[in-house]
Amino acid sequence: MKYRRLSSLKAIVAFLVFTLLISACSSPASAPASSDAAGDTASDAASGDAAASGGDARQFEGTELNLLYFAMTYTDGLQQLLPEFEEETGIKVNFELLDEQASVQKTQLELASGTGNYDIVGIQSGNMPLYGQNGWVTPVENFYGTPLSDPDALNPDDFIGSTMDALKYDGVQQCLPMFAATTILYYRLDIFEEFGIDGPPATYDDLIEIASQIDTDAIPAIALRGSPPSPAGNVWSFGTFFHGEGAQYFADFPNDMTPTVNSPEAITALENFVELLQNYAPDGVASYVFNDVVTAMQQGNVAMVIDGAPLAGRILNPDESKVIDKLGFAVVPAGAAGQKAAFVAHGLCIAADSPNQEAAYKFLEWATSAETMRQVALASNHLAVTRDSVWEDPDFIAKYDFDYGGGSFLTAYQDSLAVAVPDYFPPFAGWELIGQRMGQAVQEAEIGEKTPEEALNDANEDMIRILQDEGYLQ
Amino acid sequence: MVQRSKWITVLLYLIGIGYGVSIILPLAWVVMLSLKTQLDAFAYPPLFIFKPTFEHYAAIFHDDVFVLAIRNSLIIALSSVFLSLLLAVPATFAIANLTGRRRRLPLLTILLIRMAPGMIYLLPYFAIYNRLKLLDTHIGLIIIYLIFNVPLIIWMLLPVWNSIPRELEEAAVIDGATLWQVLVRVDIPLVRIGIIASGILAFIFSWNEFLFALVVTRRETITLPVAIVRYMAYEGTEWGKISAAAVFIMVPVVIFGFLIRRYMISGLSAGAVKG
Repeated sequence: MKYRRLSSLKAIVAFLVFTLLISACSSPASAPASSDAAGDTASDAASGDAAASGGDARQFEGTELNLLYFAMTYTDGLQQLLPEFEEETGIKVNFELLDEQASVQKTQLELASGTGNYDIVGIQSGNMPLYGQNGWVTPVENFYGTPLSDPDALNPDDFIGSTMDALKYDGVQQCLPMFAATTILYYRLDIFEEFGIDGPPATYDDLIEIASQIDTDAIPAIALRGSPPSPAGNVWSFGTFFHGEGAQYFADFPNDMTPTVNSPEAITALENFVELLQNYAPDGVASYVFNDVVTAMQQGNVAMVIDGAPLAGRILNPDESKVIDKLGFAVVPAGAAGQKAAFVAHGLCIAADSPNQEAAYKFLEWATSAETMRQVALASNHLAVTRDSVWEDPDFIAKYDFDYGGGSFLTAYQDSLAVAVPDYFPPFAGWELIGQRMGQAVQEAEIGEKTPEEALNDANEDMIRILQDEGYLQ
Repeated sequence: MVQRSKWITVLLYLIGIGYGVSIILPLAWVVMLSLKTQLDAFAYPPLFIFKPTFEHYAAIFHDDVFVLAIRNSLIIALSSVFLSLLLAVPATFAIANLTGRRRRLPLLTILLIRMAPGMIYLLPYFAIYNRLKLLDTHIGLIIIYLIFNVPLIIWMLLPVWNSIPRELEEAAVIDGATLWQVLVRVDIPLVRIGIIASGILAFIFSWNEFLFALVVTRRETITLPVAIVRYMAYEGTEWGKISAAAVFIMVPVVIFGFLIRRYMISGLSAGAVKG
């Protein structure tokens, strides 16, 4: 019995190994395919060098590039234009798009492991220090003035300056921006008229005063992001209040990293924010993410929102919105330190571990060129363009200059970009943790679990510990 | 006395119905959402009567990536269940016939593997797969799902197997059956309901799994749960497409759920003792 048992076991094991081998052989060709791609690249690079002197448009013919970022109107629009680029250059570009959080995690994992699988990755300006510090991207500046670069397409001076600055590390241009976001105040002209209010609030005191007048059970006065799940949560909304009062996250960033989020200015800002959310906002606002804010406005369920200017593409999309011709637009209200709008830039980078650096640069130059950006903007809802020349383009203005009697949307957008805080979130690798703790404090105050002062005092204490753990503080 | 028990019955029914509704409601909501236009989807108060549209279903089936993901998910989930059963059934047979420490040790090891949070396997697998060129391959993800499915099946099958009277196996051996024949001819037919039940659970796990699929797949082998998050665009979530896709993903799970309902109970309690 013992022997027999052994031999049947052997048979089973052999069978299993056999099955595994079979399925391994029949399973997809991607593993060999990727090594093929690497092989192609090597030969391409060799032939590319020979042809480079002529600036041959098709010198990278046959190269396959992989791009990883999140789905956004810009990437959608870019995909539509892609056939032109592929036809002209012979380069094939594969877009791999996920949602924001998943794509950021995956990008960081792939770059940190140096897999070399992705040639182009997207970036949010807040992550620039992390990517720069780790050398995950090849500075795009390395290609300036090389035979590869087409000065007319690149034209670095045509980019909005602040978006370029946001994607520098150590003074070197790492990535090229394609998306410039700031916040504006959207308000319902019809409701303001009904209550006899003649214009948007100039200060946060005005904002609270107006909110108290127009707030009704049917249509609450204002919606803001109340939920803290990511840096794109309530910290993004609260930041305009915070910076508006002149509050700072740190004593002297980046030299003195002592947190100062419980300063009197910060407490005033949070008191204003909490007063609005507790008294004049829809029920459940403490769990609102940006999508809820947009939906509330689209559906006509709220009279004002302060949120991303690029979202106007959606808020004013006739297929989704009930308030298209009823909106006015304004720069966010001023606090003691003036008007301070939010700011974030998104860009595209060449992955440092990409085996196709030069072809990746060609793609990057095309994807962020003024002409491409103009076409994307005209074909989609992408209006957060980063090129000055596109902002002045007549077709662009005709499409996006929404003016329903409350003034031009594009003017409000540009005025907001002018007062946007470049380091809206302090650009350092530890921000993610600090931002999360801040979001938690803001929400604690929103739901009345703590007073604004208590919430910020506790957060400040925790931040000291976090910064010590991370080595930013002694 | 009668009065009170009636009240208790009513109360229990209410609790039961309430519980049922709380489970059904989100599902019904998703189905409704998948049939609404974006504008109807967020109307307040919510619309219960609306003109249904199938545009979202049409859209997802015209999305090449989504169609590819259906194929990938089927290949990966079915193969992983098949391979898991291939490993776990003989393993359970072996463990069921062991005694003492030799029995406890493999069982405990298997349980420990399953108890460890999946996250801890994530990075090592990514690093190893990167070397072995197994990232973005079907077999890569299938192997990972074995970690979760094999222990699940073994632990589900073992009680069923233990309920087979030893006498049946011994009788077969006396009649000249080899060990292999005992497994195939005697034991497997007796535990087949348990095998089906545990196989279905393993399928559901592989079909729904997100984290590993996100990390070790890329464009070629993207699975359904990962393909869905593509509809969560930066400027706004496409709720219609997400819920249409979610309904589609739920279909096999719901069908299997109905099947399993019967098998689960008999699968877990059935023995072979027929007197």
